[in-house]
Amino acid sequence: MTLAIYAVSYFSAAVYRYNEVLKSFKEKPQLTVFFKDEATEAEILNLKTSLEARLEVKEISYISKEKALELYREQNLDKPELLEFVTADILPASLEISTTQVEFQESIARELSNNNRVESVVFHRDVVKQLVQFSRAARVEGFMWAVSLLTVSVLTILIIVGLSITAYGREIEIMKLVGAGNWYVRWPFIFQGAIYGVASAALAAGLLYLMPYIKDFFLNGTESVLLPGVSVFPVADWLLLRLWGATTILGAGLGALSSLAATWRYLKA
Amino acid sequence: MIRFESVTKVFPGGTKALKEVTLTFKEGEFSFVVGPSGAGKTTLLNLLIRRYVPTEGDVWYQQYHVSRLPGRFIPRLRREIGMIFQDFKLLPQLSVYENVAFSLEAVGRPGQEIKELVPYMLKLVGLEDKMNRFPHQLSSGEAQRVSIARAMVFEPKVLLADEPTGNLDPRGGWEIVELLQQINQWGTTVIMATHDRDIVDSLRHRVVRIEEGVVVEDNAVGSYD
Repeated sequence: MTLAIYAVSYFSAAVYRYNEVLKSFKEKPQLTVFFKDEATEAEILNLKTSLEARLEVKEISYISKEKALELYREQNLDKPELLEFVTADILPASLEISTTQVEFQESIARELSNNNRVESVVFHRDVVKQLVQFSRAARVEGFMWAVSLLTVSVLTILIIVGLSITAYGREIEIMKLVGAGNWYVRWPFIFQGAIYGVASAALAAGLLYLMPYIKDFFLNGTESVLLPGVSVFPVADWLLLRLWGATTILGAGLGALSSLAATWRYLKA
Repeated sequence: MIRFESVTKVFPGGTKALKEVTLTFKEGEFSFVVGPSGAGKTTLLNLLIRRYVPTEGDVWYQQYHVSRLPGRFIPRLRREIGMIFQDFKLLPQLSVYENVAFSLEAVGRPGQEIKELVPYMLKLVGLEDKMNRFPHQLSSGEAQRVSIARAMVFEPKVLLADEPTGNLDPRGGWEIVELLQQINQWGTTVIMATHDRDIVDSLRHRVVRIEEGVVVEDNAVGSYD
């Protein structure tokens, strides 16, 4: 059951992480327009002014060749070999445009691509599309994994509690002979199942918390093959606590229900 | 009060434990059920607490059709019809006090009531000084007294005793029978299945004899033979 609850937590955290990244892309839809070398600053600023007047455009900033060099240097401070031959001349000037909605990106990009001063337009259409796919995959695969593992857990608890009931057969028989009601006999087993669920949720939360360290130790930070694109770990403390809470309820409920089923199965007589 | 109407009980495998048994037990009676081993005495008692269901015929307790009683009423029936067994059926991991208390806990009696009732009942059976002992620390006679106390906490109208002296020495056996007589004098109907000739012959109560699942004799004041 620990593994099943771990799978539920892991995929929930993954879906959450994908959605967060997607949200940031959707909230800050951005495209970058790179200009040809022959485009003058005046032409670019003119275009900027005309774009600023449009309702689809939320924010726009001009990155000159010099500013681009400055940014490039900041990003590659630790790689002097990359800085050596790069001058402002070889870096293109650009406009960074935020649109009010992600859907406007494509039309603006198409329009600007036709401008003879524009070298290229880059925006996150493909990234967003891919992240949506990954998120959907995480949801579907996660659900399938969780259902399969939880089914195995439920069957395992059924067997374990069934064995417990068999082991306590004499005690149960005596209780029933002296007039104990079915629920009096049942509830310790239901409690037992619930405890399995609660303990599994705690172990799974611990595993989720420790996983980044375990992964670092064994994989040296290699990216996940299962869920590419974003790293699920480390799971934020608040999310871990919420997952722990939710899986404790889920585990206790499933454990109790499995045990209840076992008592129906074995205490009928 | 108790009626067996043409009751037949056949166990899986074909063993016929009772054949067309028709019997009545009146309120307040003390009756012995005698007969050789395997005659059907225990089956008769177990049909009354719905441990078994008759293959044919009906068992009645007061206005209740025991053999058709819905499952949820069986615990209540077993509190109205108490039963003690040859092997005592005590829970070994519980103390004497706990063995009596758990049956009250099982029906949700308040803790304070349990604290008062259990010592009172153990005093009645003469075990007030052994409340904290465990079953393996008791003699057979004492263990049987615990099981009587456990059955009596619900003040049952009927007490069934299945070979209650079978595992006891003669003195211990007599002590238990005297206790059962006392319980009967308080108004509880007692039906006791036994092999003990001395006890049956000495007390001169009603004797029902069963042989091979058939009632062959029923005397209001009988003896073992």
